[in-house]
Amino acid sequence: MSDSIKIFSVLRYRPETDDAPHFEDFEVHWLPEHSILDGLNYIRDNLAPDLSYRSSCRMAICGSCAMVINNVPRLACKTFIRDYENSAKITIEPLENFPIERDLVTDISDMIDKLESVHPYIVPRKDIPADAPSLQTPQQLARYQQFSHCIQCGCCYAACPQYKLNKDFIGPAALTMLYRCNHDTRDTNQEERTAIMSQTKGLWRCTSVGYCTDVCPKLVDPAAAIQLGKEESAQDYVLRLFKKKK
Amino acid sequence: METHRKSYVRPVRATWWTARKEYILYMIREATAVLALWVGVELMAMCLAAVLSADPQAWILSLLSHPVTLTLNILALLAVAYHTYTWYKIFPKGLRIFTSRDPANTHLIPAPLLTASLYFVTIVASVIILCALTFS
Repeated sequence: MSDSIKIFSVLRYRPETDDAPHFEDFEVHWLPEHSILDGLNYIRDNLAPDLSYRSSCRMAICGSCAMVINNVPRLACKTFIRDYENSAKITIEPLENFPIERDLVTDISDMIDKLESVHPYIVPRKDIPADAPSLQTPQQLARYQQFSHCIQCGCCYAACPQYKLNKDFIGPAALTMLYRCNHDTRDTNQEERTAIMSQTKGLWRCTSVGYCTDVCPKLVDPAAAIQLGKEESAQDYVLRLFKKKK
Repeated sequence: METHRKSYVRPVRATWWTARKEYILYMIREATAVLALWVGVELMAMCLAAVLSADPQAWILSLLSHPVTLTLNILALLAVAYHTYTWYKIFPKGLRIFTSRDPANTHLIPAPLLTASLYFVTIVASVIILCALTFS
């Protein structure tokens, strides 16, 4: 280990003893190649064996280690201690807007329920055999590919002030998933999903703060998916007016 | 099995929007509506003066030259400019246009070009309106 020491100020909450979370400071020895997750592993291995946090892949694929680092929702495995060299300490908190279960572990089941509610799967055409190829042009793929990179880490929900104030809001990741499925040429379920996104708790709750896009570790740009969805929702509304008149 | 499960839900305080620069800028954007309301009231007052006042021109001139009105109008102009800036910034997010219809083409019109086009139209329209008002 090098002589470099960084103070990690971790928000801790142990339900069996604590009534509310509180910060606890730890001295972490670190090397330039160490991520925040490595720092947390150091704390658990050497200083606080009961420290709870989620992690799995260590390569920004699984989204398990999302947490708030120096007031910004990030993946701990993708954030490096060296980036905070000038900070006196690094504060680490669980994801905002979700209930804390223990230390840095939050209950994200509300987000998962919302993701499930938007029918996040392709409903293929019935007139094509299931094993037949479904060809797409590069342009058709480009329409939704960026939005398919979401790993459902929850950073965007932690960043969203609308979700903070109103838990009914379907939220950035679910609306992005909805847009992604609606723009896949293999899908036939657009009408049902458009109705979901256009409801009161859908994308019109979004007030275009854009912080979800700023914090997205996979550069998905949920704010863009929501803006594009608003355009389609408005078009759908107008078209329905004309359809009713017939 | 014994469980100590006791989820902690962090309270949302009235000052939540001061926690991050992005939230503060968002609240400033929303607060520009207050100055838009002022401009609405001012326009309504001028319309009423045009109908009810004996000398509408003198009344409107005295209203517009008052230091408080002048300050509020300058602030309203700044607020409109900031509001415009925020929406022009987000505008390209709602517009994904490919540079050609070629199925193999995946290049989108760049966001800075879309934003610049809006600024261009705004500047041209402003110049035309100012010229029309000045020389009419």
